[in-house]
Parts: sequence; C-alpha cells; structure tokens
Amino acid sequence: MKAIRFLARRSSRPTNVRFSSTQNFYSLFPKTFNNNTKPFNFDVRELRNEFIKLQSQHHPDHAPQNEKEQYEERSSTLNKAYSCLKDPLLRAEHLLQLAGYSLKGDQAEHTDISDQEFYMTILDIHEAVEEAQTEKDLEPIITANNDRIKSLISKLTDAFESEDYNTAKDLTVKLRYWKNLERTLREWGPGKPIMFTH
Amino acid sequence: MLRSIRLTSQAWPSPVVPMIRSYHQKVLDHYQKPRNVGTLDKTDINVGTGLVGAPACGDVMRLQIRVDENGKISEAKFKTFGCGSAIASSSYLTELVQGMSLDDAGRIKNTVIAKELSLPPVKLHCSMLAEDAIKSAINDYQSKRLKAGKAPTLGPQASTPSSTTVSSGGASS
Repeated sequence: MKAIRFLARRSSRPTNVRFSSTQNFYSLFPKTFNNNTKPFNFDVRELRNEFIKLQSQHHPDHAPQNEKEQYEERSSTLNKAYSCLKDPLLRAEHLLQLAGYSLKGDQAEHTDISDQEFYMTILDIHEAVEEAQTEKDLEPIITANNDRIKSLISKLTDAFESEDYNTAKDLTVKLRYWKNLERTLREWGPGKPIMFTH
Repeated sequence: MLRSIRLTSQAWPSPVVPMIRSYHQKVLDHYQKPRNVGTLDKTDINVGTGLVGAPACGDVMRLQIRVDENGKISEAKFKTFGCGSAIASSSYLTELVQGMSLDDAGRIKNTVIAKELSLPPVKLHCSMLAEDAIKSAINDYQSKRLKAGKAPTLGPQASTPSSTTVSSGGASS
C-alpha cells in the first residue's frame, strides 16, 4: 500500500506539485515559525539553519529499513519547502495559495488598460538592456531594479501583515515581471538575445 | 492539417507553404530567427498598438499593425520579452495577420497558433497572449480612429461603408 503511494507520488509530477502547493510549508519549520505564524518577512538564515538540522535528522541514508520511504518523502518535501520559502516570489505565491488566491493557470489573458504604462516601462527597460554594449551600461538598470524589488518586498510585507490579499496579489505579479528582468540582467551578454526560461 | 489551417486565411501570402518539417523545428526557427521584430510609429493614425502581459509568467508582448485604406493589415511588427514559445507565437502571428482584414485578424484563435507551433499544454498561455495582443492592437487602432473623428474601416464601430470600405461581416476577397 505504502509502496504504491510512493510510486504514484514519484511518477506523476502534476499531482506532486498540486499536493505540495496546498501544504503549509511554514509548519514544517516550527523553530523558525513558532505559534503557527506565516510571516512574509523573516530571517532566512534562521530558516536555513533549521532546514539543515531537519535534513540531517531525517536523512534517508540513516532511515531504518522499514521507514526509508517516509524519510525520502519527508526529505524531498523539506527541500521543496525550503526552496520555496527562501525565495520572496515563490514565498509570496505560496502565501497567496494558502489564502486561497491562485496566480497560476489561465489567468494569463486578462490585461487591464491601467497596466499599459507598467508594460511600457518593462518593455522600455528590456530594450535598453538589449541595446547595452558593456556591463557598465547595465549598472544603473541593475541598481534601479534592485531598488524596485526591495520596495515591492517591503510593500508585500505590509500587505501580508494586514491580510490585504488583493494588494498582495498585484504586488506579486509585479514582482514576477521584475524578477524576470533580474534574471535577464544576470544572464546578459553583449549581443545575446533575451529569452526567458520558465 | 497544417495546410488546412493556413488556408483558412485567404490573404495568406504563399511563399512559406510547403514546409515538411517537424513542428518543434518551427518553434525553434521562429525564436531563433524571429520575423518582423521592430516598431511602428504608434502616433500614426493607421497604426494600432497592442501591449499585453502575462501575469502567470511575467512575459510582455507588443504587437503593432499598420492598416491600409482597404482595412487590411499591410504590416505587422512585434517585440516580445518572454520565453521561446511566446516569441515564436508572436513572430508567427505577424506573418499570419499580414494582408488580413481587421475582422479576420480579430477572429484569430490562439488554438491556430498553438497548433501551428505544436505548443505543449503548459505553453498554451503563450498563444493566448498573442491572441490578446492582436485584439488589443485592433482595439487601439479603432479607438484611435474614433477619437480622431475617422470612422474605423471595419469592425463593430464601423459607420456606413464609404467608397473604400466594405461593411463588417462582408469581408470581401
């Protein structure tokens, strides 16, 4: 029975993803997040320490023979939870999902007229990146983007604290666009075409 | 299959039709050598600009069309910052709409793009983004004409047909 469940979990990725997206990742790290809290802003180093500790406690290599599967499952869940929570964008998405707000799926199509200016800005900046000749040209763009991301994260902290999920959702979508730019900037090379991978 | 999709557009220019390659190569081809990348003057009364984004993945797409006096799309340009499928979708779209009436272009479904490029289910939203972009460009063109006091040549807001236009629905060949 257990073996079947394990195999099923392993072989069907979509189910896997769905399963993990409804689980509260915060609850796996009771030391960092005591009293069932789900803060958006916290000390990532503390989380990392607890993650390493938990992983070594439940390392599959040290599992008793009959509990190997549970250990493996737990270890993989911890990996997923940690990589989600340490990243501001994934963390925001996770918090929204826990609150019943989804950002995935076919919501890609709605475009608000009020977004036009926002899209224009993004397009302009990406074009500037494309036209950059040297890394020096990128510096002001990188600085501006880091500031933008920092300010979004601080606004997200407020939104989640006041449980204003609609605002949090808007901010998270914006953060996604700027994170794409951040990656573009990181992977930039002279004359290299810009293409996202996701 | 492929041919039948293409033939739905009467105005499709013929050069690229015999293409017996795998679909995957077509996507590759479009995003490695994207067609019609660029900008049209967005203040031009004959130009419509569509600017759309995909909240689910953070892609941004700009599609511009130039409409001639017969209400047909004479030129299309795009700029997309997104994944390979989004780039390929918009690149293919600029070829597809070439020579189309606005009515026909407005009726393009994302499934046509997805089929042509053989997009996997997780990338369907890229073709939806392209469909949104052409609709948004047509809207922009038409509202711009309305504001300027010129009736749009075709479409729901079209006034009584003038000598150079045909009434909507009767898109002539």
